[in-house]
Amino acid sequence: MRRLPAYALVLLGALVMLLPFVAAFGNSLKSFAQYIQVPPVWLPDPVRWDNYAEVWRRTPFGLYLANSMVIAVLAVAGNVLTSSMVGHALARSRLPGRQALLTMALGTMMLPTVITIVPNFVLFRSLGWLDTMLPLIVPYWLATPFGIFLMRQTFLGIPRDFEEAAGIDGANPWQVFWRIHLPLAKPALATLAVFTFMASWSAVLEPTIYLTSPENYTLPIGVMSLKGEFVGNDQLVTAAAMMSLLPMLVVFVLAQRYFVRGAVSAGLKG
Amino acid sequence: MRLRMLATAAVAVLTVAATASCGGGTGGEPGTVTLRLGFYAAAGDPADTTMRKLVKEFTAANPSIKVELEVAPYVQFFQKLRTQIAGGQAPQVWLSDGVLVQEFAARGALADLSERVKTLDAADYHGLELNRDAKGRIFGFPQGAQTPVLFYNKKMFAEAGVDEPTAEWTYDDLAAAAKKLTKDTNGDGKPETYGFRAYSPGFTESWWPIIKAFGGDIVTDENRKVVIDSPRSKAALDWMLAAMGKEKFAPDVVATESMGKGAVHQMFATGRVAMSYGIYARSLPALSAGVDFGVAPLPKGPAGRGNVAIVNSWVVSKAASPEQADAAWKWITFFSGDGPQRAWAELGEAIPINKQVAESALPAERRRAFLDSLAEADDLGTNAVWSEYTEALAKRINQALSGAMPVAQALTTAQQEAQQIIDRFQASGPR
Repeated sequence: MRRLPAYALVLLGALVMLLPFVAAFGNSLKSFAQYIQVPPVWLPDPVRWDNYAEVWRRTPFGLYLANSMVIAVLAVAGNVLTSSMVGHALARSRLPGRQALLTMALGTMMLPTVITIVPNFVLFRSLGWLDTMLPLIVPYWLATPFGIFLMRQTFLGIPRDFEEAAGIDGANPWQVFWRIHLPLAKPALATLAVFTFMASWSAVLEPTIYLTSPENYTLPIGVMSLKGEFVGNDQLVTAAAMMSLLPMLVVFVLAQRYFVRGAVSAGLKG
Repeated sequence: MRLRMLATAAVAVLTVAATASCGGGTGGEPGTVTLRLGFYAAAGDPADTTMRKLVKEFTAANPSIKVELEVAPYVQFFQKLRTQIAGGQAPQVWLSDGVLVQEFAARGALADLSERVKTLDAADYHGLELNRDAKGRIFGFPQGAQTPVLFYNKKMFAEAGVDEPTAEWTYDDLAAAAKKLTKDTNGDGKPETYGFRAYSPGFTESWWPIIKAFGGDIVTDENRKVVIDSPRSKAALDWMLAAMGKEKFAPDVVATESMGKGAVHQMFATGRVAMSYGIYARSLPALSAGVDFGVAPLPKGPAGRGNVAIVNSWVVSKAASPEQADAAWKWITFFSGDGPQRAWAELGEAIPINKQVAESALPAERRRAFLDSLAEADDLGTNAVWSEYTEALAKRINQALSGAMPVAQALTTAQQEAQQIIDRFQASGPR
């Protein structure tokens, strides 16, 4: 009973957070004329579910969804695996110069993507990877600076006793990593997985630059391809955006438990 | 075990992704030429559909030419194109925003079309002369033209009992009518509908033609010398400031910007303003919102109407092989022909560049205002650094129009900063 005011406050906060979402959902059901109406109206009239159908008529939306899924899943798998391996090595091995390596890796985070996009474009062109999904997947299989940093911090926080005990039982370094440390790092792995998924799922610049054929498009650029220069098909774009939110929502709900814990613990150790 | 499964799966998927994507691209039988053709349009929009239909007709008539399309919405198209140019991977022919042709040309990305243009009768096409650069060269062949005119809402004029605009209107007539059309219906001291939309972040439909109408200019000397800092430009901006401030017949900068990006062009379509400068393409949102509107020539200022035009153009990559360049030119002349021009005019997006088609295909009630304005139009100060220098100008002028900087100071600063940008490019090796 005493908690009631607190719940009310949280509920209110949640409602405020939900408002833009509700507004966007309403907008996705309007006609263009109603979409641009001033002052804006909340309730679409008439409700145009056909906007959703129109998106499917205009674009191979299912294909975009599949492409984004393939890319995101492979990006997550690659980043989680390789970043945790590199992070583990930097945290646990007595590799000379490991501090410098870490600093260098983190340094690349300071370079904005727009700076590296042309050299990357030239590189991927010479590899013959343009208009394929490879430029959007392979970089994640080479470990990312954020992933390395997150996993290194996590592994640093695991007491040495575990690996010493495993060593006595005859475990080699790989087994220590795979059977002892990795399971202990589950929250961080889940965090990394969610962050990677989100980054890959919502990437705009790279797919715009590297992909040309509509059959290779990812969801965000598929959604944006509906945007007109003079008559904004804003209601269609919003409908498409609504649909593209769903998979993200599912991933978030599934990983929520780990995600929150991981973000908190990473914050403490960072 | 699980790791091995994961790795195997990953390798399998990567292989599939790689092989699946290697299918298209090069190849083709001997004697055929593959042309990569780029244009900007929203997926599934009428423009997209029409262009694809025209390409199909073109390849049917020219079986030796295979066309690969590269289509993206406007912003993404040019973002990608700049990377493609830098990476030596640009399409062989693409549709360029008219104001960007000089930028691409100055960076050595475009083939000079001057010789090819000589094979046509230049008098048959709108916009060709506007596309000539300082040395008389032509790098872009007109695809569609845009020029601002005065849009007005017939219903609002009738309701307010105000006479509709005529070709003889001056800026004083515009102001007088706009004042009568401004309405504060709920009496809160802030109008709900305004007579005129003066400010816009897009200057083609705002301060650029107004400054010219007042006798000022923006760039001269082959678009290399910025001359915006003049008493006449100041008079133009003062007129705009009064419209938004003292006279209150136009929404001010804050009110306009707070409506969100892109909303400024919807103000007319949503009935927030009774009059607005708009290019031909602005008919589309107004029509789709069901507004009963008319168009009139821009009002006369002390120095005329200040008409300007943007001529969106087909350009050919310098890196195209001779066969590809020939094929590209074939496409350009095909697109400029009667049938394709008529199909394109039906979209209502741009003024057809084929003069014959323009005379017959434009809606009769809007034809004269647009074609007369186009005939009198100057180019929009295009040069190799158009995007950069106009951004510098717009930044200061918007500050002046929002009251953040005195007009005189804004003009002085704008001129200096814009000139620096042009000079820096000239110094780096003029072409």
